Amino acid sequence: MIESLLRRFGALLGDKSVKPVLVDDGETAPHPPPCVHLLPRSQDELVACVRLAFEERVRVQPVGGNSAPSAFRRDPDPYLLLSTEFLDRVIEHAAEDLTVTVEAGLAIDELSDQLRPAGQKLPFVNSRGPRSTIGGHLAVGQDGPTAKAYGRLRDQILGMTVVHGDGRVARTGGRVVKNVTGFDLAKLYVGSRGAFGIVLQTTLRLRAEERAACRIEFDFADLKDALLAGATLRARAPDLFSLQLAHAAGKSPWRIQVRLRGEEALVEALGEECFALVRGDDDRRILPDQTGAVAPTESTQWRELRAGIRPSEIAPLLNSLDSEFLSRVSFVADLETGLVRMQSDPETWDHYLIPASSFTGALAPLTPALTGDFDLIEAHAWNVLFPWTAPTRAAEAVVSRLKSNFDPSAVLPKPPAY
Amino acid sequence: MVPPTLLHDFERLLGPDRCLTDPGVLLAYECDGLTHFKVRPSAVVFPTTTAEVQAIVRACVKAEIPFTPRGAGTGLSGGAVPAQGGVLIEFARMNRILLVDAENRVAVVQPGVVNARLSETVRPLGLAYAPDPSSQTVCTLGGNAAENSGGPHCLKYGATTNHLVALEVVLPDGDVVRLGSERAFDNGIDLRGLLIGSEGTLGLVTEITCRLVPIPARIETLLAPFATIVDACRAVSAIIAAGILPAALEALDERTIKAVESSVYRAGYPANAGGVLLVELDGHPAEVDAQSARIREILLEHGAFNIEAANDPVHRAKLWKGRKGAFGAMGRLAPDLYVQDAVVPRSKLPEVLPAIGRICDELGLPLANVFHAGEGNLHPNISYDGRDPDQVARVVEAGRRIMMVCLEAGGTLSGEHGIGLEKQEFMPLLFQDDDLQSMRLARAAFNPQELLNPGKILPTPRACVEVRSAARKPA
Ligand SMILES: Cc1cc2nc3c(=O)[nH]c(=O)nc-3n(C[C@H](O)[C@H](O)[C@H](O)COP(=O)(O)OP(=O)(O)OC[C@H]3O[C@@H](n4cnc5c(N)ncnc54)[C@H](O)[C@@H]3O)c2cc1C
Repeated sequence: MIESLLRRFGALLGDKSVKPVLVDDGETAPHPPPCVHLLPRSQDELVACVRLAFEERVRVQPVGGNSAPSAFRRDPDPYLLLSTEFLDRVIEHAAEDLTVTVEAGLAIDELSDQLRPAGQKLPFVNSRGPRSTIGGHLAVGQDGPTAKAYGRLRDQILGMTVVHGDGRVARTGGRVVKNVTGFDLAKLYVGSRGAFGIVLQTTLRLRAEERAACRIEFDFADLKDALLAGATLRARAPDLFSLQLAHAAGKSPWRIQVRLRGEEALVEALGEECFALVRGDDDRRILPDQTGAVAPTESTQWRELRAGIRPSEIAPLLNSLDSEFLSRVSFVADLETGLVRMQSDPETWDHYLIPASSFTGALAPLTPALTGDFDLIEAHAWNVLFPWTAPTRAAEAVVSRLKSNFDPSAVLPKPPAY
Repeated sequence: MVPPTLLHDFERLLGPDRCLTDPGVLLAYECDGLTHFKVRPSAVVFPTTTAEVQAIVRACVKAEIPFTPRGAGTGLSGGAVPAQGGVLIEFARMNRILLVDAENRVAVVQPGVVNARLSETVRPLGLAYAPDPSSQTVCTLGGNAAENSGGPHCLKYGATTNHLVALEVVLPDGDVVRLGSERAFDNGIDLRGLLIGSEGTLGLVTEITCRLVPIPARIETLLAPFATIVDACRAVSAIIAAGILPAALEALDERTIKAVESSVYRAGYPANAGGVLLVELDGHPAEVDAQSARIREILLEHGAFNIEAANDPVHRAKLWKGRKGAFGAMGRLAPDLYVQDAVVPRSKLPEVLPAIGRICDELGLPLANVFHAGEGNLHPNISYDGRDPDQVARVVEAGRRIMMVCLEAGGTLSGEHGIGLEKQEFMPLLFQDDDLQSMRLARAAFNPQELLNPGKILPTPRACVEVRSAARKPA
C-alpha cells in the first residue's frame, strides 16, 4: 500500500516532495503507523493531494509546524502526513486597513517579524514554539492571554479558504473587518483540527503595536493573599491588558501578573493604580513586557491540562486542591477569562489524578468545592479534547452530518469533542 | 396553506391570544423593516417557553408547514418574512432576563428581550451589553443573534458574535441543544459561532448567555465637521492607519445632516458642513486623553473645523441624537427608505463614496449617507415612493450598481443587515459555486427539510448563472 501511495503521489508532486516515514514522536504509541509525508509546493498541489486521497480513500493528517500532536499516531493504518510547510506566502498585507492575507503554512513568528516594521502585530500570541503555523494555530483554536483585550482567536478571522475532504475548495468571509454575507463557516473550521477542511489561506485582523507596554508582578507567599489581590484588580482596574495568577512547580510564591499596554500615559497611570490597589510588603516588580504567552515552565515530557471555568470558580478550585499536588504543578489562571492551565510531570498526574486511559472526570475528585460541572478543555498528554459536560445527542448528530457533508469519505481527522 | 388542525393545536397549546390568524391582523406581519418583500403568514404564534417553541416546531414538521422566527421585525433584509408562507414564530413575549451574574460578567436572557433593556438592567451594576444597533430600543437579542448585528460601538467591542457565549437552540426537527459555554473560553467546534449570523435558518434561539462589559471610567465624544464627506472619509482612513481604535467612528453626509437638523432629532450639527464625523473614545481617563489629542491632530490635518468635544452624558447624548435619529429623520422625507449595507476596506472609503454619489445622480435618486465609517460599513440611504414602480425600479438598479462598486473595491455585500431575501441573488457575484455549495451543506446539516425559514440567503443554482452573466454585461 505504501509503495503504491508513494508512486501515485510521486507522479503528482515529484519524488522529492513525497517521503515515506515512520512516525515516532517518543510518546506512548506502541506501533507507530507508517505514513507518507507529502510536501506540496502550492495550494493547487495540496488540493490535488486531497483529491487523490479522497479517490484512494486514504486518510490525511494535515501538519503545519508539527507542534501539536497528530490525531492518528495511535492508529495502525497508513495515512498521509500532508504538510503545509511550503504554503508560506504573505498574499497581501493591507497595512492601512490593518488586515493580512496569508497562506496556512506560514510560521506565526515569521509573520510577526514581517508585520513589525509596519508597527503592527497579530491579535494573538504563539504559544507552541517557533515552528507553529497560522493554519495549525487556527485548527487547534486555543485562546491565550490576549483574549481579554483583543477578543477570542475565532473572532480575528475575516476570511478563510479551505479544501474539504472531497477536494472541493471553498471560501468564506472576505477581506473586510465586518461581514455577515452568508454563513460564518470560519467558525466551524477554527478549533476543529482539520475535521471539516484543511486551511489553505486566511485573512486576519491585525492590531497596532501599542506605544507602551509593561508587566508588573506581585509575589505572595500565601495563595489567599494572591487571590485577594487578583480579585481586587479585577474589580477595580478594568483596563488591564491581562490579569493572571501563576505559580511555578517546585517554587513557593504565588504570582499575580499584570500586563499593561496602550498609550504611555495609560501605562504609567494604571501602573500606579495597581500598586495602590495591591498593598503589602510582598515582593513586586516592573518588567518589560514580552509578547510571548505567560506560561509556566515547560518541559517536553510534561503534560498540560487546560480547563475553561468561570472566573469566580478559580479561587474555589485552588482552595480545594491538595497543597502537595499544587506545589508540584505549574499553574496559570487567567482571572478575566477563566482559562486555566496546569502542567506537571507524568508521575504527578498519574499519582494525583487517574491513569491516562480514563482521564475523563479527572479533576472531579480533586475539586469538591466546585458545585457544578466545568469544561475541561484539553489534556495534551492524551491528545484528545474532553468536554466535561457530554454533548447532547442532537448536537452530536449535527456535527456528524456536517462531517459527512464536508468530508464524505472521512479522509480528514475526526472532529474533536465539543 | 396551514391545515386547520394545526391551528387548533396551536390554540390549544397557547390560547387564542397567542395564536393570531385573522387576516387583517396578519397584515402587520407580512414584512420587516425592508418593505420591498411582503408575504403574509397563515398564522403568528407567540411562545413564552422553550417547550412551547419545541411543540410548535414539531407540529409544523409533522404537518410539513414552513415556519419562520421573528423578533421585533426591524430586520432590513427580509429575514423575518415568511417567504413560503406558513407559520411565523414571534419571540416578543419570550422576554425575560433570567440571570445576571455580575461577578462573572454574564447575563442569561430569553431571545425576545429588547437589546437596550439588557444594558438598562445591568447599568446599576456598572456593566453594559456592548453591541448597540441603532434600532436597539426596539430590536430583540434573538434577532441580533440571528443577524450578528453591529452598532456604532462594535468598532472597538466587536459585533454580536463576540458577546454571545452560549445559546440554547431548538433545531428545525424540534430537538433542543446548548451550544457554546459561558465557562469554556476555548471549546473546540464552535456551532454557536456558525449559528450566529445564520439569519434564523439553522435553528431557533430560545436562550442566550451574553457577555457584559464594565462601563468605561471615561467617555469622550468628538464632533468633527468637514467641508466634504470625502475629507471626513480621508480622516477615517488616517485614524485607522495610525492604529488608533476608537470606541465608535461614525459619519454623516450633508443631506443626512440637513434631514436631521430639520427634524426632532436636531443635534446642532453645523449647517455649513459637508460631512461630520462622530468619534467616541472610552476607557481609562489617561488613555482617552492621550488618544483624543492624537485623533484631534489627525482630524485637523484632514480639514476638520470647529471640533466639539462632549465629556458629560447630556452633551454626549445631544451629539449622538442626530446619528441615532438619522434613519427616523430620513424616513420623513419620503414614504419609503432603502438602506444599503455593503462594506469596503476602510482605505477605500474616499473613492467609493463619490462613486455611489454618481450612481444615484445618474438615476435621479436622492442619496444620503450615514454609516459606520470606522469599519468601512456603508449605509447609502435612498428615499423613494414605493407606490411608483419607476422609482422602485431605479432604487433596485441603484442598489445593484452600488453593490458592484463595493465588490470591485474588495468589499462585501452586507456588514450587519444580512442577505435575507434582498441580496441572495447577488451572492454569486462574491462567491463561486463551491463556496455556496459549502453553505448549502452546512444548512443541510441543521435544516435538512428546509422547513425553517426557507428561501433565504442562498440563491438557486440557476440564479447563479443568470446573475453572473448579467454582471458581465456593461451597465
Ligand atoms: C431604524 C433601524 C436601524 C437599524 N440599525 C441597525 C444597526 O445599527 N445595526 C444592525 O446590525 N442592524 C440595524 N438594523 C437592522 C435590525 O434592527 C437588526 O437586524 C436586528 O438585529 C433585527 O432584530 P429584530 O428583533 O427586529 O429581528 P427580526 O427583524 O424580527 O428578525 C431578523 C432575523 O432574525 C431571525 N430571528 C429572530 N428571532 C430569532 C430567534 N429567536 N431565533 C432564530 N432566529 C431569529 C429572523 O428569522 C430574521 O431572519 C436597523 C433597523 C432599523 C429599522
